Amino acid sequence: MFDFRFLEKRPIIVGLELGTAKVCAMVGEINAEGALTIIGLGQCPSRGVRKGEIVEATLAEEDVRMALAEAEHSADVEVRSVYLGISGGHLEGFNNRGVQPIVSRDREIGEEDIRDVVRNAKAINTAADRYVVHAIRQHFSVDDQEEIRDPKGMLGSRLEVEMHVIHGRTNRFQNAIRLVKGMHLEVEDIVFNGLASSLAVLTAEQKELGTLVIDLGAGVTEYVVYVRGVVKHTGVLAVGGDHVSQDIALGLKMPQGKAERLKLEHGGAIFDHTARGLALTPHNELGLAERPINIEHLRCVMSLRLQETFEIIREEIQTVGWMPHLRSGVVICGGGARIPRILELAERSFELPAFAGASAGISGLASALDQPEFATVIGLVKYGAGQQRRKSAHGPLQRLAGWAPTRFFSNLL
Amino acid sequence: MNPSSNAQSPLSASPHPAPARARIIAIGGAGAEMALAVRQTGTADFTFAAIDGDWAAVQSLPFEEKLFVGARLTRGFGAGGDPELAKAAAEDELPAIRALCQDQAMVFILAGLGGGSGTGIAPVVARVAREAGASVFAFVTAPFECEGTRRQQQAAIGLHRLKTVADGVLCLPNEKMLIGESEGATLPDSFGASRIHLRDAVLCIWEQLTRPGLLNVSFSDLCSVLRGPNLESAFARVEVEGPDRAELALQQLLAHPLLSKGEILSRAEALLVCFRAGDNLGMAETRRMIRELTRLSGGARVVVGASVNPACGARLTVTVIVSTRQLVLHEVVQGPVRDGLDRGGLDRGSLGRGEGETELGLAQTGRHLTPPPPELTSEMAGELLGRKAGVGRGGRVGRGKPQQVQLPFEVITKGRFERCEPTVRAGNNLDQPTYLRRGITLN
Repeated sequence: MFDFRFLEKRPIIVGLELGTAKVCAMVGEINAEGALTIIGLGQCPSRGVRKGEIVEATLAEEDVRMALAEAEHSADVEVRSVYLGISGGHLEGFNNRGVQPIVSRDREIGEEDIRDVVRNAKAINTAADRYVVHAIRQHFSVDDQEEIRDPKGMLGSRLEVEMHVIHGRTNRFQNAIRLVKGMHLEVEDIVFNGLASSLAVLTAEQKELGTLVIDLGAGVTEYVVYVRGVVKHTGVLAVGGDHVSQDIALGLKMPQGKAERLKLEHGGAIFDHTARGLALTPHNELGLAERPINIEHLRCVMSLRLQETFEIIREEIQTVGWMPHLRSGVVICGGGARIPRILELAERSFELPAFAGASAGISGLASALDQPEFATVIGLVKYGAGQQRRKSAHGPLQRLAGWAPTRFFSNLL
Repeated sequence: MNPSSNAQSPLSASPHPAPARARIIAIGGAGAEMALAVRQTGTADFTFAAIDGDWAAVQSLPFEEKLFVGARLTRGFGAGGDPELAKAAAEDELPAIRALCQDQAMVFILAGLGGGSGTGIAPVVARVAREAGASVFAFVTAPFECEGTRRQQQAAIGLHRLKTVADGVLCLPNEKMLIGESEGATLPDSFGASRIHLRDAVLCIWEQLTRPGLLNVSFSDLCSVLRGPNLESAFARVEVEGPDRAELALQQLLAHPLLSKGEILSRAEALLVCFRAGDNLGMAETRRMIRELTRLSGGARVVVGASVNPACGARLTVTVIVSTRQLVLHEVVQGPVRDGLDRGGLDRGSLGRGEGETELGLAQTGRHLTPPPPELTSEMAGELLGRKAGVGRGGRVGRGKPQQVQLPFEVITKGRFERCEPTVRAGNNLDQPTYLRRGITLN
């Protein structure tokens, strides 16, 4: 029988993450029932990225090409556009408030008012070289009545909205966007990696209860706080697994590559009596014993760095006051979630229960879905799927009308 | 071996000895200037002594005791910037130096490091004084950077030796004191400033130890601040008046050039804070200042002293002595031991281990170990040094090879983060390993 399935057009969503350790592309498909399935994955060790930002464009481009080619091959599709994940120490998040007086005679809040108040909240005074990546709606309030999800149809004289705004340096985003565009690919949208990870690993219940998501990447550590179902705080700390390896290389006096291997094989997040006096004698390729490596020092160096990272995050969240609201604990994802006993360290540092992030609510390649380091890229696909659904929910005419002015980075490139 | 074990210091025996006997020993030209500055305050607590290798200079000083060293080796013309020569000259006069330190509860050594006399003689005096049972504090200045690397290196070696033998060393680099000066400051002004600062430091420490205060600083507290593997200390003193004097004092301290505008506080390993005020010293303001300083200095050990002096009136004097954390993994590696004469303070590694100490134990106890001077007959020493100084031989023949020293700071390579902008958070460069920033040593 002839297979006609290729004729029906199914939306393909591709998430692309330009990470410090790996470049990763994931292909998802929305099936007829509207559910998301992961159908392909391509990855390549990354060489041109440091601390989540591109430092060598040519190398990064090669890596992206490899990863995309592999993804296309494994999913058997052609990639035309991607959702691009971005990160870096320059990203910042803050909460902003927009206000709109309701002037209509009957004081009923309409669609128009909601659009205006959101626009007001988005009018942010940022420096000229900064670009707003996300402006996430949190809650509306009508005349001091707080925590309203949908104010449409309510009566009031004053409508306010709380937004969480994530912004960063325009030029840094442009580097990544230009790189992708140089391959004749469309960038559908840029997404903050931390946000993507949290989309992948959190359930609605966790978001509602209050959760801190920490993505321990190779170059950067991103963290997102969800309270009462919405993003309340985001941040990026440009410290990651690379720093751990570098510390080990310096402390134990060995090359970076060897330190990296040692970290993966013998590392640990907690330094206690079990490591006391442990030493390891590696053998070189000829079978001769090399200088013994002190595991105690290795753990000590690693533990100090990870502990410090958690402390910095904890301090920041404490300052903004969300610490008591995190009733569902801490979720750790990213490659760092693989470090032995990292959850124990997180529990000690935050005094909250800690869990490893597992992607929930999508089906597909089982090998990819339960790996903590794919949280970001799965999140990117999930974000893309959400956008697609929203688009197709609007009729074609509405889409045409709403297209040009609200297009995300019409002013970016 | 350890002098404090057999001869207990009179100070540690009773908290407030009736009249503690303290002697200020000024070494070299710079030391004499500082001692003069202390003397000018009219304090009657000290007796003064001077030691120098320059006969003319030492004779002109108005001190009670004067000791000229080096009659045999330098013939009265000073060491000419060679610490080894000065050191040997001092070792010739050991009995006389011992006599200077006899029956003293405390000996304050004042010297300028980097030259010959100060660098060479001060460690010898410190060792002898400790052997004589006195507690030894050394107040030294490090040379200006423009004085050249040779003097800097000599100063670093001298400081290292001094730290191994003295109970406490306060080293104030001249360069730092210059920061507060305006562009038009004259040379006498600049040197004067360092003299004044050192004088204040001497008087402050003396006062804390002897005046009964509200909060006493014990001798061991003081030692714990001034002794440690730090290269330099910082000292700042502010005097304020007025209703919100605590706030004012904090602001002035944080803007103080000697604390590098507060940056030094964040690297502090130990901190001594002394308050002196009239009867109106308030608990709230004291607590506020201590809390703020503790917060700024991170995990540093903070020792607080407070004394009440009705003569102060409404004035509040806050003195801060900071020992900075130093990013080295290992002890300063010394150059090759020359002529067997260096063994006095340097070759501790082999000595310590010889006594069956563990490597870890050495790091803690070896510092206070005072090894005996080497077995050298005076003829041998005289010959060796005479050769070096060119006495009796032609010109530069016997000049020793220059010592190669390793600079005490470990260079931290940026490695993988070479081309990235550094991640700086709360004044800390997070690209540097955490264990180094927190001063945790991997032995």
